[in-house]
Amino acid sequence: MSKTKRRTTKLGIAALAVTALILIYTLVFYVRLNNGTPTNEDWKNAAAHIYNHWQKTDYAAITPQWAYQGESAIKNLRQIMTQSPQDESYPDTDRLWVISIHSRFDTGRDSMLDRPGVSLVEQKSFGAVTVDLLKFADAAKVKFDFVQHIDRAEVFVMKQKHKNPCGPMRNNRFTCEPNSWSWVGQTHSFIGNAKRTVIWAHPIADSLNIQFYDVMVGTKLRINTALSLFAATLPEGTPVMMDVYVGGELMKTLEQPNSAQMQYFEIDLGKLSNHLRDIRFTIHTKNNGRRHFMFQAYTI
Amino acid sequence: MSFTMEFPSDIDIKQHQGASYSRWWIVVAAVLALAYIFLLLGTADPIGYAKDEGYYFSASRTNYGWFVNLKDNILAGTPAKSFSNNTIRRYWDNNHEHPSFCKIMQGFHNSLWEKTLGIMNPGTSFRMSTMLQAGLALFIIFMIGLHFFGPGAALFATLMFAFMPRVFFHAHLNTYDMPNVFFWLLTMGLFWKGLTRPGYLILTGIAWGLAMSARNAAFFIPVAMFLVYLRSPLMKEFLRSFTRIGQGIKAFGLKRWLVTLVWIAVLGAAAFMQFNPDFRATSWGLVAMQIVAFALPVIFGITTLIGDTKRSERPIKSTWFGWLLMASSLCMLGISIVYGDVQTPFNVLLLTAWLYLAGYICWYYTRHGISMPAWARPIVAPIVLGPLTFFIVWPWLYHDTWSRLGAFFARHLDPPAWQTMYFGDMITNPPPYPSSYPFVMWFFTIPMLFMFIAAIGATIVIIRGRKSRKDLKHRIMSSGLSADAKMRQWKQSSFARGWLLLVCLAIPPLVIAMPSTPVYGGTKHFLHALPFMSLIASVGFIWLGKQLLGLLPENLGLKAKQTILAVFGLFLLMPGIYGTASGYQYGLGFYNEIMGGIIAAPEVGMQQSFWAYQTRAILPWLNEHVPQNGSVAWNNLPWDCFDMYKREGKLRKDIRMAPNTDLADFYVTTVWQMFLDGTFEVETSYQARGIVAQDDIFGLPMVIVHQNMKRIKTPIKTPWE
Repeated sequence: MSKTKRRTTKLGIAALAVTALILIYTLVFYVRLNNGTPTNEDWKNAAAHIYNHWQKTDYAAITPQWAYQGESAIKNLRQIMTQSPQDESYPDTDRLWVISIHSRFDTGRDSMLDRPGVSLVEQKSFGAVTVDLLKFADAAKVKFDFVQHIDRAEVFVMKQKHKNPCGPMRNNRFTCEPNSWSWVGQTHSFIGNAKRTVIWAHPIADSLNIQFYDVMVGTKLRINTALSLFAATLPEGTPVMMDVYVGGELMKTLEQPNSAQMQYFEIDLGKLSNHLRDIRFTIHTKNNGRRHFMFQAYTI
Repeated sequence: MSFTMEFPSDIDIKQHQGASYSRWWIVVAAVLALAYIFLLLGTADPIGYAKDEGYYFSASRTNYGWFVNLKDNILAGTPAKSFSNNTIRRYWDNNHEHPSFCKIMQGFHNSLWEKTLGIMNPGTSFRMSTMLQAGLALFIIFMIGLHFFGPGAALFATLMFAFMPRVFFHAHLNTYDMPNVFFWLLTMGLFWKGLTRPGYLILTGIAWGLAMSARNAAFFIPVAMFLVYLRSPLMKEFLRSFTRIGQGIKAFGLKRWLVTLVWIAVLGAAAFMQFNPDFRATSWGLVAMQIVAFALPVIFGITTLIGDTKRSERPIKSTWFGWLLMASSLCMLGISIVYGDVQTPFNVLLLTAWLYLAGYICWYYTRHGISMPAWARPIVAPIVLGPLTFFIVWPWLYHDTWSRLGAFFARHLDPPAWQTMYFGDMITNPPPYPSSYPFVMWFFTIPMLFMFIAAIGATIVIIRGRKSRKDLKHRIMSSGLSADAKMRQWKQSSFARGWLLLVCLAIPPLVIAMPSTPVYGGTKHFLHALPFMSLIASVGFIWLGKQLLGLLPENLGLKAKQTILAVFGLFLLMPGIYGTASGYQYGLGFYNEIMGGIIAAPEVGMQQSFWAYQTRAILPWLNEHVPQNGSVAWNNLPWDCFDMYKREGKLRKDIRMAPNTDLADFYVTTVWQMFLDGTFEVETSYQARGIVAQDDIFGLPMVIVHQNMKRIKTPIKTPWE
């Protein structure tokens, strides 16, 4: 203890200050974490409010992506669980409800409101659950969601310049080969670090084509691609390529590397925009072993 | 602007040494250990049984059963029956990919607390083994801290380790991770003491053997020992001994050299026969030849090296141990020969070789009245006793020794890598694995303030160590002191202590950082570095405390200063204590403030949790809602855990484990990202719209339940409807 008579150094004062700051930060962090934790009642009240004001062309987004309580609370409504409501597609939607906890929509809200045609109708808190209602003007609406309308697609394999159809669709799937994985259709998967509704399109030895006819395209085509977690662990796994044709014209070739990380692409349609167009996604890879390829696509 | 830094000096440290602290502080350490054990016992129930615990429940029952069998056979006058290959297989085959010691202890505790005393439920009684070792680990941390840095630092280091959230969780489980922490501490602590008190090296060897029998991470303990040895005066002595080899070789004499060469030739032939299946036989002649071939060159080699050893100031005290070793080896050998079905001659050879070696060394020293040179003791004792202890406590190796050892090492040299989420990617076999993993995981799973204090402590330890090393060079290395005297002074230096702590802190994560080492298991595979991080942090705490006191009036009394330091220390421990208290039952999912807490980890693609222990929290809900004789499917729960829940009454007896998801009324998912695709498939197949129940921490569901709408007649309402 005799040593404690030494005077505090400047470095000591700085270290004590940093210690105090970290301690305060930690304290505030845990207080916020506790306060941000929703109760069952909070979920219940938020769900009741949404049910009471729900309209036919509404859509709901629950964030963060792990909030299964929210998914269950509004289970009869059109909904999506997502980490980034601002990055998702909401087809045939005039209004969007965003149900968030732990302030997870704070940055997303700002980002959405910066877009033309998006306005905030209301924001309410039910305990730790926050509900935002956003309204989309025409400019902000999704023109066509390929995942929702996969049943309208023609799926075929090009084999030596011959078109081999994978249809018609049975049990919500176009079956291209006898293998259990060689199909195209809508599925739910944990990809891109969230539960997502996507098109499963496992590449096969020849090029796999998903063709949509007479799609009313907007100004942009957005495509998100990913491999499943399991697929990406194959060390010799090859990238999956997707050629995107609009009106018969190759717009871009997208590459999904051998990774579970979701890839985000945006294609500016330029002179092709705002017309009825045929759109084709051609998927191919050098080696199709364990290529659990999935994608989302929509046009705005 | 200039900064001056003041650190605990060697003089400060010397104040904290030795007898003045002895008894009462041992009591304090014991009280801390006991309090921790009771705290662990009191908090065990909400922590569900981890997947591996289930396997070890079963394995420890059968492993411990061998000792019961041995006792019965001894009473019946037929002890050899317990050593037959069939009996060994019966009791030790289960989970033989892991060594024995933890399972023996777990089985023993189960037998003691549940079956004999009847005061614990089965699961807790198995876990008691780990809890006890966690308490003992705290005891050792405190004692090291006390002798290195004083009582305040010791207390801080002990509590910091105790309340690291992931440590607190692992301290409950019937697994090998906390025992591994305990044995690293014990072995390195004994080794440190043994550097100046040779008797402790015998215990070091035994402790290392037990450590290897607890977890494979202990195979790296010699690396830590070597690095400590490398920077000590003993290394110089060791190098100097080579200059004497020439004289030793000359003094050895031509005749003995010829004999040695013959033995080496015989050894080669014996080794060839041993490893060639065509020649491997049970011939006693071959056994004898191998014994001679194996043991004597080793003995002659050592004789050569130590032949001119001069009389030491500390005569060896281990002669009694050598004779004890020889006697025990002889007993085992006798049992094998008289009663056993000696199918594998090498088992006998192995024991006898050790026996010869120990016997010869004892005889040699007794006869010549000399001591083993100081530089040789830390090498010889662990090398001789570690593997021997490992062998003795694992009866699985008593037969087919080499093939079983080979299988063991093959598995651990090429271990399976369970799937681990790491920033959105799933890491699994084959290598390479990310070298950043252990450091990133530490960065996100140790409370931020703890890391900051540890960083201060490490800086002080390094700076002070460098200064101290310069002093040492002048004071010790160039002096004419004996090796023992040099070691005593070296061990008191800041350099030596800091070096010990830094080595033990660095090795565990560096092993995991090797691209070939699988990274599954979160932080548990390098948990044994954390006691040393806590000890280093305690230096930071003392320094910060001094800085704080320096801001206060100088006329404060000693009591006031101590109280202020105690309160300050408590504040610094708060992030760990609160982090632990707020969700210890989900400790494997703990992430710190930098990550954004446990809720943020899955959002950036880090492992939310694993090991299926989360099921515990949902059992009351299942008890209430599963229909009579209903069935439940689980995404990741082994039968032994399910069975244990039922045995303990935590799960209704009539609830069945469904053989597949279609036949289940409910599907329970312990949330681990790799399983979620399967859960979504089940959800679709059940026509379930979302979950029906869950248990969460800060809103993050850790375990979720889906109901099978095709089987449930009256759908259950969720709490959110």
